[in-house]
Amino acid sequence: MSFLHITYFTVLRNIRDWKFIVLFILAPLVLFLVTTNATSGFEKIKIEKVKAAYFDADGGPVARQLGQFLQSKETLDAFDIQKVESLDEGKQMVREGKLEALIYVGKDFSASIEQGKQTKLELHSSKSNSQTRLLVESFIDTLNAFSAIKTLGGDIKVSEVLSGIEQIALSPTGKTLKNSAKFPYLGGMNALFLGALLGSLSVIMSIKKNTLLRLNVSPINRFAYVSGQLLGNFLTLFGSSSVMIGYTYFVIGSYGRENILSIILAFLLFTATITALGMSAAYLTKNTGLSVLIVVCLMLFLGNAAIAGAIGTANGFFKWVLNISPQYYTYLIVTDTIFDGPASRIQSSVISMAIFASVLIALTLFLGRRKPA
Amino acid sequence: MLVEVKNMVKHYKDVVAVDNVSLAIEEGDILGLLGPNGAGKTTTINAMIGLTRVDSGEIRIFGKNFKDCEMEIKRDLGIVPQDIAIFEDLTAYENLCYFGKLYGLKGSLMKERAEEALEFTGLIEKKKQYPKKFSGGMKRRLNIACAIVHHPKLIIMDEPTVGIDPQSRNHILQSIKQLNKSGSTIIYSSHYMEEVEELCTKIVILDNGRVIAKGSKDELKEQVAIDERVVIELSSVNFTMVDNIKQVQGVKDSYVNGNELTVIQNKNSKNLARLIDYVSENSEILSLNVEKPSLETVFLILTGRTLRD
Repeated sequence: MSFLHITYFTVLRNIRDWKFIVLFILAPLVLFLVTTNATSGFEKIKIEKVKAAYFDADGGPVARQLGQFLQSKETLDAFDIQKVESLDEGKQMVREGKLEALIYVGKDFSASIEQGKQTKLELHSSKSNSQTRLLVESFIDTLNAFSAIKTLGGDIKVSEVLSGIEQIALSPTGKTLKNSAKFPYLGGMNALFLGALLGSLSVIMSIKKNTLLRLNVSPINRFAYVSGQLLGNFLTLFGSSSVMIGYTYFVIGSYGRENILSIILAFLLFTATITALGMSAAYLTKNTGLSVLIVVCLMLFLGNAAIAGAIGTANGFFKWVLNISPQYYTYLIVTDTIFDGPASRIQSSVISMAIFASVLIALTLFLGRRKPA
Repeated sequence: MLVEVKNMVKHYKDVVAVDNVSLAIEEGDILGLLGPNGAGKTTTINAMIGLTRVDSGEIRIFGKNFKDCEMEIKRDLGIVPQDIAIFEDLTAYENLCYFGKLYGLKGSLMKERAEEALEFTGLIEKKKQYPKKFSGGMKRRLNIACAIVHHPKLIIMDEPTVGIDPQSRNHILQSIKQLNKSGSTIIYSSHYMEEVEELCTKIVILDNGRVIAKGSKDELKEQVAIDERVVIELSSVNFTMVDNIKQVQGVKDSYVNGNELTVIQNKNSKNLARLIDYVSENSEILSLNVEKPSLETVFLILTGRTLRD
């Protein structure tokens, strides 16, 4: 496997070059640690719990299931739910403003479900669109999904969140990244983006130092050299990405829902993208100055768009640029994973990053393949 | 034939880099590609090793062509590029491992071959050192070591001694002779006449992309009709003797520089004995040297200019 030994020597050469180490691993790390303030990077949003109650006139298995759902830890993080002794008592408390809503489970609720009949949950509230209603809807959704009873909820219909409405990621503990913390985090990612220069410089060096010629006349596959070099540069840069992964997981992650795999995947794709980008720029230009200029301009362009997107100020053209910003997609994957953002957005960001990485890797392999002049 | 090039043509836009070049190399030869900068030596070599696509013509290495047997051919080729092609951030030993492994060497064989190549090029003591600390000559030697680590059948050297000290040059030339003795066929491109003259069994002279002469050294020298120079060092010289020598049949010119008498006569005039007799009657001969034409002279006659013009 010629390309694996090229990978090995590429990593060896990269880590032996102190200029590379300083520029591509230490500088991003120092920049990131200097600018970030780990302890004040998060804010606790004070959420007043919604007061609600339920009355179970049924007592059947499905009703008990609802009771367990309403008393679960996740529900009680945001709701203060009590059980009342009668329907009248509950209604009275709603009228007095002590409760936002009362959930009433009728007598034949469980039996109807078991027989596959339509039934309903009553929601008594002084508000036309209460948060308790959303809670009940989520239970009905879950129940419908499991029991496949489409009309279980009666007249209660679940409405989708409109795509034009910005969804704000909130963790179950009510914590999220402050704007002031987004700058250093995305700044760190931009510093990582500069790692693309490692790919550029390694390609230019191999051309200038003539070693490419010797590789071109050796009996190895057309793509072996470039893929070995690509993997070697990727592994070197993943060293600096690991610092970001560690910080993300152990510091930011400790404030939210941790999922190390998603975080690693995000940075794997990001590192692959920037490595291939740098190498492609070098193969295209065959010029140190030009490839450095391309990488730095892209970093500033895509990075600033990502920052604007993260703090919600991206408009017009910059909003469009977000669609091609690897920094922004990586940021979305990480923050949505930690702060319980929409799963669909995590998925679409991962897919976008995978497409970027694949296209750029293919381009690098195509441009770097050995061919006679 | 180990290498056969027939009617090779290569253009770079409007410039004809190689114009109908044909040459052949037999196993065990050291073929010298001689010519000034821009003569087409490197283009010819690049075409042979598959780095340049030719416009027309045929190249067969080991009886095979590149299109069908690229990997097989490359496996038995060793290339010493004109510009040093080594990794300065890998030690001498690691450089050999890097390139050796590309040719399938591994394990104890890799180690053995790397040490053998370092020994051969006189760098074994420096095996753990980085080339960035090497002199130009040592880098050139490592450049050669990287090309021979896999024991290639055919070694192509493109000006391997450019810009190095005489000691390193001598070491390299001796190494090339040794490589040839051990069975390698060598193509040696240079614009140093004396190197080609010393090393090569066959010579191809290129100029402006065309082969202007080829053959062994003696064959090339025979191809050009030139004069013979006889330089005689005497105990004393008188001008009457010089004038009389000019009258000898076949002598074109005669002149004195200190105690040194130079006689220029037609090649094959066969009057050396007569000259010696005449001069010894008038003075004591301290030394005598018949200067044979050099490749430099051959090149000058063939192209109308010196190689370094």
